[in-house]
Amino acid sequence: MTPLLELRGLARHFAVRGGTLRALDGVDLALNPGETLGIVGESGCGKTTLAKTVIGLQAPTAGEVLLEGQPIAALKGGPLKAVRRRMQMVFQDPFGSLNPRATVGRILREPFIVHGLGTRAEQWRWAEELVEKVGLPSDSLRRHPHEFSGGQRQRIGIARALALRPALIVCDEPVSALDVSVQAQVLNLLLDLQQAEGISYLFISHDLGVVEYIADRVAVMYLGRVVELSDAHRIWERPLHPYTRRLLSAVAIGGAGQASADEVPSPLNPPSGCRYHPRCPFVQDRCRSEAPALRQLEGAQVACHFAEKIAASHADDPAPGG
Amino acid sequence: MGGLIGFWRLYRRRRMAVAGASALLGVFLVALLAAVISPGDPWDMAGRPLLWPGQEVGFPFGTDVLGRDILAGVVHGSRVSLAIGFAATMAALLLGVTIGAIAGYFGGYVDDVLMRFTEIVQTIPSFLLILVLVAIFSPSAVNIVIAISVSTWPPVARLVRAEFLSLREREFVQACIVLGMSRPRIILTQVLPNSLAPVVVISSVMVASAILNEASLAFLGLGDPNIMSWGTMISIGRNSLRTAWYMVAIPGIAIIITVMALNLVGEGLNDALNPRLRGR
Repeated sequence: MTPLLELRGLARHFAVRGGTLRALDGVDLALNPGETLGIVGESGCGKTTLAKTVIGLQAPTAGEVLLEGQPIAALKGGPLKAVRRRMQMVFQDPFGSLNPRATVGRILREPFIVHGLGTRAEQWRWAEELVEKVGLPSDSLRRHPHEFSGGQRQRIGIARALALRPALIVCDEPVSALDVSVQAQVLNLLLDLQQAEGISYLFISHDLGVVEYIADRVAVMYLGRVVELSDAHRIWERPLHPYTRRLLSAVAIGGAGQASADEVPSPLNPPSGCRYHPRCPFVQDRCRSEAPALRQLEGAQVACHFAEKIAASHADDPAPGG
Repeated sequence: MGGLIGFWRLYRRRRMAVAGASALLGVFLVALLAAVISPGDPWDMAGRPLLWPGQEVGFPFGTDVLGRDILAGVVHGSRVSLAIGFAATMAALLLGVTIGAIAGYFGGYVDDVLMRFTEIVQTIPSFLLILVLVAIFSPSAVNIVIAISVSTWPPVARLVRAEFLSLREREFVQACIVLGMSRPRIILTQVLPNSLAPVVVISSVMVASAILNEASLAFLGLGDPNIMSWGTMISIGRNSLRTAWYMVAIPGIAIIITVMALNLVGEGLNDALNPRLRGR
């Protein structure tokens, strides 16, 4: 089966004062049709850059993004528009992602106008169907974004992403700006829509609880690289990478998604070898010099030289929070 | 419509802004009804020369050295002054918004080139530039409008550029890119409407300064000699300033009222449109 989305050695570097910021540094991932792949990590690990590079808001420095087997980097004009119809995005900030001067009707008609679909009357009817689909009253179309709550606005953002019936929706922290009670409603909406329409999600979040709830598989990112890729339920029960363990224990202890008490090294000057070695409690000499590649272990993939040993040493001791 | 009502609610909170708007409305009415208030050509000799205001019943504002009715001059001059003020502002806005929008949206090299050019224009004292341009080309109304707009667009460009720089990173603009919207369409339908509030505010003050610039030109003898503007009237009266000061004072007061009104309206617009002050 051709994966719906494939990332091959994807890198995105930024030239900044004092060097090169490696926001993404060689990411390989694949996403199957109808699947949800969660991306987790602390802030600054490259999650948002990953989303923007996948969706084409930023050009990759190296590597490529393939949608349904087709590299999208060089596309322009008509073929690029065709890709846009297959892949949409839900943004993080429900207050910034809707044009404050446009009515909701206008915002939801825009996708059809841009792609030259339907007559004016049809566009209105489709827009009505969209607000219904995301659970908003049908008189929403005449109102402006500021008349809605954060959760309702995020529903409008989801409706816009749905308009062109995409195969993939990239969700960049879609619920992190919402109240916890509203988060669950929006997540359930995303799950319902996935069941009804067979959409795949690339779901980016710093919140492990949210990712566990919605994702089929999870990729853990650390300083621009994937350190562990596993099924969602199993990563929770049996994390293989020491960094994943740390993230999970931080959730169990602190209740917050942000793991570290100590400094995260800067992606401007990433540590040599394994990038996690300065914070890793199991660090060995080899970790300081040699960067581990992702490899198969117990049906998951992990980038750690000593994952077996670490896993064995914690075999009797179930992972915190599991 | 709801937006307009909300706007008026914010605007009317400032009493001086309402006063300015009323005064401006008055000036507009005078300009509109000029032919009714004072029929005939303001250049015609209508009565005895050098009548003081109130001296003769038909001439409430008196007459000038050649017996022209000063009321007619003020009334018809309002048309000229307002027309030049608005035309010059429109032209400056067109220039400034276009340059600022392109610089702000595309950034990088384009931004550098356009902004250095803007700064060069800005370093030239604007009235001097107007003078030179009008002196080189003939002092016709069109040339005066062009000269004023050419020298006053830089602040608009900088303002619009700053708005575009921040707006283009906003998620609703990125959402439009993801939808596949073309760049010109994004600029015109998404970014521009959201960047216009400060431009509206600055434009009322620009109209005022354009009227002042036109009057200054006319005072120096560089106005359009064929049209009766307030500046023309002041330059006619200048020679008899000591003996018949009313000839300068009356059009001068008209200018002051109009410019003040425009400035007050600008402040009112700023309060009503500036989102940072909203909800106070």
